[in-house]
Amino acid sequence: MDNSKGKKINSQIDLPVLKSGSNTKQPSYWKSYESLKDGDSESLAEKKHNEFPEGADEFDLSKKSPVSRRKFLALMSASSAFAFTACTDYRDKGEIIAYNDKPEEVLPGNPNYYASTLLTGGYGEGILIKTREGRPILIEGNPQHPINQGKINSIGYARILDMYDPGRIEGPQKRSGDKFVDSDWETVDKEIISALKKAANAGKEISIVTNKIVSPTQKKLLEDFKAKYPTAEVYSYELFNDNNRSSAWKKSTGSSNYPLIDLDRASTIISIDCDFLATDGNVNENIRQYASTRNFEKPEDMSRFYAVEASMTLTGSNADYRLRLTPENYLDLLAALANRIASKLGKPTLSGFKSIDELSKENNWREEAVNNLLKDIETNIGKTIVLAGKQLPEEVHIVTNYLNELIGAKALYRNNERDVEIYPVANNRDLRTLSEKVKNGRVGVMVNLDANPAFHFPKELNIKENLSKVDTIISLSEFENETTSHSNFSLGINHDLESWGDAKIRSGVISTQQPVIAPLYETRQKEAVLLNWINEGENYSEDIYHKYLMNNWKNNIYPSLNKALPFKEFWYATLHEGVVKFNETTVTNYEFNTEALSSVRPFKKSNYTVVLQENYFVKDGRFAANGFLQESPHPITKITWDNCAMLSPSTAEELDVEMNDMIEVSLNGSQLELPVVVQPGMADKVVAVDLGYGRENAGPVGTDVGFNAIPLMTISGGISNWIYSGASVKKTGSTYELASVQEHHELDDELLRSEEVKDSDGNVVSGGETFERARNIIQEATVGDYLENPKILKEHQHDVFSITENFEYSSVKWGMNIDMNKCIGCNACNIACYVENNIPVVGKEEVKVGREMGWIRIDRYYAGEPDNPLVSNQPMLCQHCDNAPCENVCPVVATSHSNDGLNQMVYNRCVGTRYCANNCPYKVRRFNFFDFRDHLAQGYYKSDSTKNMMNPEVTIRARGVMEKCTFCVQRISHARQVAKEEGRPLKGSDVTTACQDACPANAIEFGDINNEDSRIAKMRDHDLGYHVLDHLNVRPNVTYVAKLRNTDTLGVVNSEHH
Amino acid sequence: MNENKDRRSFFKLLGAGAVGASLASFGKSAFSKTKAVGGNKDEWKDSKVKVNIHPNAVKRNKKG
Repeated sequence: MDNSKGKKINSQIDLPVLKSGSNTKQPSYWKSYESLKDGDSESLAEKKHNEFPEGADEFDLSKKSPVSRRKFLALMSASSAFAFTACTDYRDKGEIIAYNDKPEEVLPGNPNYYASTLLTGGYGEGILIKTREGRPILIEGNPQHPINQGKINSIGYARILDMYDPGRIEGPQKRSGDKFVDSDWETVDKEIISALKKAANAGKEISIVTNKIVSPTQKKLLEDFKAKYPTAEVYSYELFNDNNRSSAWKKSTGSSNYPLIDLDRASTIISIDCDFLATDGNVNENIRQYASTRNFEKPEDMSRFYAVEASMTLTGSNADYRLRLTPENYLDLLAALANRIASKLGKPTLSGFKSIDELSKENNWREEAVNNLLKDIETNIGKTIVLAGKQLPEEVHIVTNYLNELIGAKALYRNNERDVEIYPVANNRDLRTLSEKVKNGRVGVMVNLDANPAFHFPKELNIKENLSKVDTIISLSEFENETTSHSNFSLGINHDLESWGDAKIRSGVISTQQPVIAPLYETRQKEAVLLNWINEGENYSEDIYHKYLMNNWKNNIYPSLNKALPFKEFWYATLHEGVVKFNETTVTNYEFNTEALSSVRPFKKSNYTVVLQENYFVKDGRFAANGFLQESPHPITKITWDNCAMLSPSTAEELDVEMNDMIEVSLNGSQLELPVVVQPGMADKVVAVDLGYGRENAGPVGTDVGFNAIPLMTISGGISNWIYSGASVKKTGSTYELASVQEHHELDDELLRSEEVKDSDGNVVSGGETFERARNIIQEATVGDYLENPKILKEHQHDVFSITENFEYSSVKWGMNIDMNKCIGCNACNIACYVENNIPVVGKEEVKVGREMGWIRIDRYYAGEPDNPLVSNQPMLCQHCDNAPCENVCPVVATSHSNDGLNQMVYNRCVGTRYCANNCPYKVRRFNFFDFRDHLAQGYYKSDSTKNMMNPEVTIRARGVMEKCTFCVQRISHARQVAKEEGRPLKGSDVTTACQDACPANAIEFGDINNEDSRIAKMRDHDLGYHVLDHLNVRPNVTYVAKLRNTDTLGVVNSEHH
Repeated sequence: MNENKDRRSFFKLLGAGAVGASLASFGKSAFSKTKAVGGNKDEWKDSKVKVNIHPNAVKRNKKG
């Protein structure tokens, strides 16, 4: 029990880690700023010991009504009778009627897949839709799609819920007084066509407001519309756009096409507030390429990633070196780096900017980080790329382009393809023009094509206030929103899965969209509605846009592709694949024009800086009505169902606020009250707020969730539309309870403390300091240390032994690997798991008491100082332990072990004692305290429509039942059946889990541990492979691959946690 | 004494509950029929939902 720091006094005497003594290089990890401040206080220790956070398992009626214990028990017994009766039909199957005439496509029990494209949100992602008996039940990435290559983001997975959402607009509606009344298409079309003609004849504008257009056929349709109604104008806008990057590129090179960058060929990546792993650019492709440079099997080729940013972003949290910097100083850093190289090359330099030394001193940067940055940028010529965030001002992009020119980043630009802009995205000037026209009564008809200008347009444009000056407003949308509230007509439109379409986001690639289900309601797709108006309502048929799309392909797209197949065969083959690839030449010869630098001047910081960010899940608010996305914890703050003001610990201290305190932010003449989250890693005097929250009309799920920060925006001032200096911030004195999951389900992991040595007077003369976490839940090393000593993490490995014989698994034994070098913490796995396994949304109040139901969660750990923390993500799910502690304690054997290594749950045997959850050291078991679907928003997600979304292979768990990850046992069963039919043994590679399929970084692998040639088996014995809490001898079957950081040191010392 | 009385009345209530449960289970079919309609809150009842495969969609039998 000795270690070099003295005899330990911690209660966990026999932990193997103690043998490592002070030689260990593992830092002390902490999960939240609050836990760091409190240290391992008694309350925190208790939290860690408990199966659920405080309050989760309590029904504290004393707070609700003054009922005595006796009275309560008496009531309970009586109500139990009613509960019995009320529960009698919870397994009611309803009427089951066989197919009278079975559709040719359907083989009951077998899924069908359809390739299509997601157009909502302007992603143009290739998707594969899994249907069962005609019902779409899962959206995944299309493996044939060359850009997203089988992956989609978390929003793509969650979009299935929107289709079945009971709050969808079910058809055409007309305003009658203060409310909408149901109408029919013929009536509304007639009235709208008359209004369109009237506006065109009067010379008034018909404004078509839409989000980003990615469909070439939709573009043609809008041109046809303008030909029919000549006063029509199209405004394609995005609240978050990369107009600044595009205009800077145009000024820098004369070309309008910002190049695609091959991150997988870069050895040094420098991000200037560019959240390229979450919100900037083609995120799936970026993650795939970035993750490929983090290959622990080729550590010497691992990229080094520097992130310079004010707010802590998902991308920045993955950096090897992260440098905090306020946005006003981004230009200073870029100019200093450019000057350093330019002066050596005899190229023009920029004057009036701060030096690197000044910035380094002001921001307390690590010397190691700065030295390596300067060395890498000077030596890795042609292998280094600097990326600037799309939200940054044009000047920052111009200097970034210059710096990239100087360091030869051109070698990383992709020569054979480029991104395509089908229709230009409106800039500030366009938005102002539209607002002026609306204000002056020059707009006769406004058509909102699934857009929400009343919510998104900056306050100074007064669009909402002036909408009454428009003669006719028509909103085409899936759900009611702030703009439909001001409309004369609200027309329900089809979901992506009910629509025809196409998308071109990249040269040489067009993907197709096909409906996999007939519209659930009396809705039409928006293009069909416009087409019908072009045709003046004559000859409408359900396939009107299908024919239009086919004709456009036949006459305009197909001839240019030079395909040998006749059109009909080509068309069906393309629909089958969901995508067509062809040769399209691109010009990529760029030369930087140094005249572009003439307009670049330093920014000045005053008072507080406000950074308005795109939310990772609800985006600009368009997905606020989606319960999966609202409940998904923010990857940085871990807040659900809200946004907040992120402040650095020092700024919070200066303002005398802590988490849940309200502050008032005053900016551009607007005031906004926001709850505080003290976020480690934030730059000082910066307030970061996510947009997209505070929707006023987003259905029962999305309305009044969070705070709307769009009124803080202005298009006439600010460093950019999203960054503002000169804000004032004050504490209001009130509080607001946020639902954070950061400290939920914390693994028990005490700090070890060295023994105190006291002198004769009882004064402590040495010892007493904490030096390490006891259980090494997170393990990591630097690339250098690992190369020097590959066994660095295994040196102190402790052999565990069992007093019983281990079970022999004779055939397949399932296991999983999670590569923490690749996991970026995006949460796509979590949402995919929700959809695949019918996991209910519980709502904010239940999350607050720790009742969130996700089977896989991302545990996020910090190490080091709160201003500059190291961040580690660890996906945590059931470890399917061989010696599972949960199995031994179940009094009804509801959880048991299968002979292929699965820790199983028998739901209809479970009586809900929760002993298993109490005994699970990983805290991965989830209890159905309620029938959550019935419980949330008055049964919103228990409607007839949402029932259709359920995966029929997965039991819907009843109230009072425990559940947890099954390793997607339904997929294993299906694969076993297929193998049996094909007369071969089941292989590990036959099965992929939902989280594995979803992971854009390919961090999750699944397979057969008993197959010694499989990666699953090999990683278990790899030098970097480890099992969390393996010293408990529970023999887990999830192997974590320790993270390698491409730094000289881990940058934190072991004793800094006090 | 009082405690005993309370306990008795508690078990009485419990017993009544059990009898209630048994009786209710006899009437299960009638009850469940009512519940099938009223199980969800009326405002989110979607009787209009129809699931029909789109006639022009091109399917795949397998993922790849």
